Amino acid sequence: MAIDPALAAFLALDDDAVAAYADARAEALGLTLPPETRAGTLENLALLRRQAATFAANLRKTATPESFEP
Amino acid sequence: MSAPDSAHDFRSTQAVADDIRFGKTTARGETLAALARARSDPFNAYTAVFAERALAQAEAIDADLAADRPVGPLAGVPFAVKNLFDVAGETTIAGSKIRRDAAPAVHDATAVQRLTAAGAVLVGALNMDEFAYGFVTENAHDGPTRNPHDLTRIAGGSSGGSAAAVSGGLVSLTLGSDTNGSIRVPASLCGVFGLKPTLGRLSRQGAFPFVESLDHVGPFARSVADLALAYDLMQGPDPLDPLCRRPAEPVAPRLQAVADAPLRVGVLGGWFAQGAFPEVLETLEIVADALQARRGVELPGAELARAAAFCLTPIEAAHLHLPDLKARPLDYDPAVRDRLLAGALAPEAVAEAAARYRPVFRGAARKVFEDFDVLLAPASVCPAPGIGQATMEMDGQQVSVRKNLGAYTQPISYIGLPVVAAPVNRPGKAPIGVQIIAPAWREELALAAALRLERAGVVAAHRPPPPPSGS
Repeated sequence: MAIDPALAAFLALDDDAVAAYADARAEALGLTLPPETRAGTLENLALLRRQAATFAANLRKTATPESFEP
Repeated sequence: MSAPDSAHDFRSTQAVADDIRFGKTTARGETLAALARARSDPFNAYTAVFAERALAQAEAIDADLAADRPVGPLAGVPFAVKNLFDVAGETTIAGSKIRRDAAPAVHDATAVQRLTAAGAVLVGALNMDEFAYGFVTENAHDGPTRNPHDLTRIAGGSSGGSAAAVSGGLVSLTLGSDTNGSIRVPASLCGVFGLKPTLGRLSRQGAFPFVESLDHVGPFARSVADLALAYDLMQGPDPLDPLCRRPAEPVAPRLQAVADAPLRVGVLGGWFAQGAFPEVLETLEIVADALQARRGVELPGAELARAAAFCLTPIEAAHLHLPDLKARPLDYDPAVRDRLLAGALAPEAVAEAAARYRPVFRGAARKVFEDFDVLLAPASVCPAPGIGQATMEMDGQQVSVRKNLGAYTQPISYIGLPVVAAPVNRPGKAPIGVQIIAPAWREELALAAALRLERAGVVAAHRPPPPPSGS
C-alpha cells in the first residue's frame, strides 16, 4: 500500500517548516489562527507530526481502514 | 431516619440502598444529605445541582416503598454525572464556555435513564476537562477540581469531578467517560474504582462526543460490587448508539464464582514500565504478587498504539469543533484549543493511518490474551501532580504533565479493551491505581480479579483526610 501523498508530505516536514504548512492549511480551511493560539498550535502540530511518523512507518502493507470492532 | 450529612459519607452504594430499603433512612433524607454535601463541596467537583428533580424522584421512591410497590435495586441512591451527559431540561456544557448558551437537553442520556430507572437519584453534574480533552480537570471556566486526598493536587481527568465526588464522600456513585484514560487516570489519582468497559458495551447516546471512535462511558464507585452493579444496570443494546448492539451480559450474579476460579495474570512490561515513578512500580508489584502474575509480558506495538491514539484524538475531535474553532476560538480553554487547532490543520491521512493501525495492535493484544485472562499495568505514571504543575520528570527528562499522564491508558482504549482501575490499598499515602485489563467483552474477568484483590485487602477505596473546616 503506497503511503498517502498528503501524509507523506506532512511527515517530510521538519519542525521549521511546520509554520508555513500550517498557514497554507489554515487558509485552505478558512481557519484564522489568532496570535494567542499560534505558538501553541504550531507546537502541537509539530508533536502530531513526530508521533504520526512513529506508527505510519509500521503499518502493514495490508492494513486497510475498517469499521473497528474490539 | 436521617442520612449521614457530614462531608464524609463513605458508605458503599449498596449500603445506601440497603439503608433506604430497610427503613434506616429514606430516599428523601439521603437526597437532602447529598444535595447539602454538593452545595458545600470542598473539592469543586460539582458544577450543577439538580435539587428539584432529585427531591421529586426521591419522594416518589419513598411513596413506593411506603406502599410496598416494587422499586429498583438502587432505589433512592444519590448519584451524579460528568457534565457531558445530557440531563433533561439542563444544558450539557461538556466543561466548555461555548456550550453554555446551547439549548437544554430534551432527554436524559441513556446511561442516566438506565440508572434512574433502577431508582438512583441524580443530584448533580460534575466538573471535567473542557470537552473531555485532558487528564487534569483544571478547567479554565469552572476552575480545578481538587483531589480529596490532598487539596493542593489535581483529581486527574477528564472525569475529575466524578472521581473526586466518590473519593471525597459526596456521593457513592458517579458516571464519567473515557476516551484515552479519562476514567482510569482520575480513579487512580483519587483512589477509587473505575470501569471503562469494552468499546460499544455501554451506550454513549446523550454523552457529548469527544472522539466518537474512541469514546466510552462508565462508572466510578468505592467497591467492586458497586461497580459491577452499576455496570449491569447500564448494559443492553441501544438503537441510538450504533456501536451499542450487544445484549446485556450481567456480571454481578457470577462475579464471586469467577473470582474463585483460576486466573492467568500477566504484568505488562516494555512501554508500560517506562517512565513510571518508583512508587507506581512498587504498588504494581504488590498487586502482581497477590495475583501470582507473570512479570514482563510484552504487548508489541504499545508505544505506536499510544502515538496513533494521540494523533487520532485531535484530528477526529476537530471535525466536530471546526465551526466553533473558526467562529470563536478564544472561547475555548487554551489548553484544549491549541490541540484542536493542530488537529484541524493536520492532514486527514494521519487520522486514517491511525485508524489503520488499530486492527494491527488489536491482533497483537489478542495474541497476548491467548496466554492470559487479565493483564496488569499502571493506571498513571505517577501519583497526583500538584494543581498548576506543568511538568514532571519521566526517565530523567522533564515532560508535560498534561501530555503524559495517560501514557499507559491510551494504548488500551485505542483498541477498546475493558479495564478496571483499582486503587491500591495504601492508607495515608497518595492514591495509586492499577489497570486490570481483560480481553474484549470479558469485563467479568477484570472485575473478578479486582474483587479477588479487594477481598485480600490489596486494593481498597479509603477515606481521605477530612477537608479543613470552612473549605
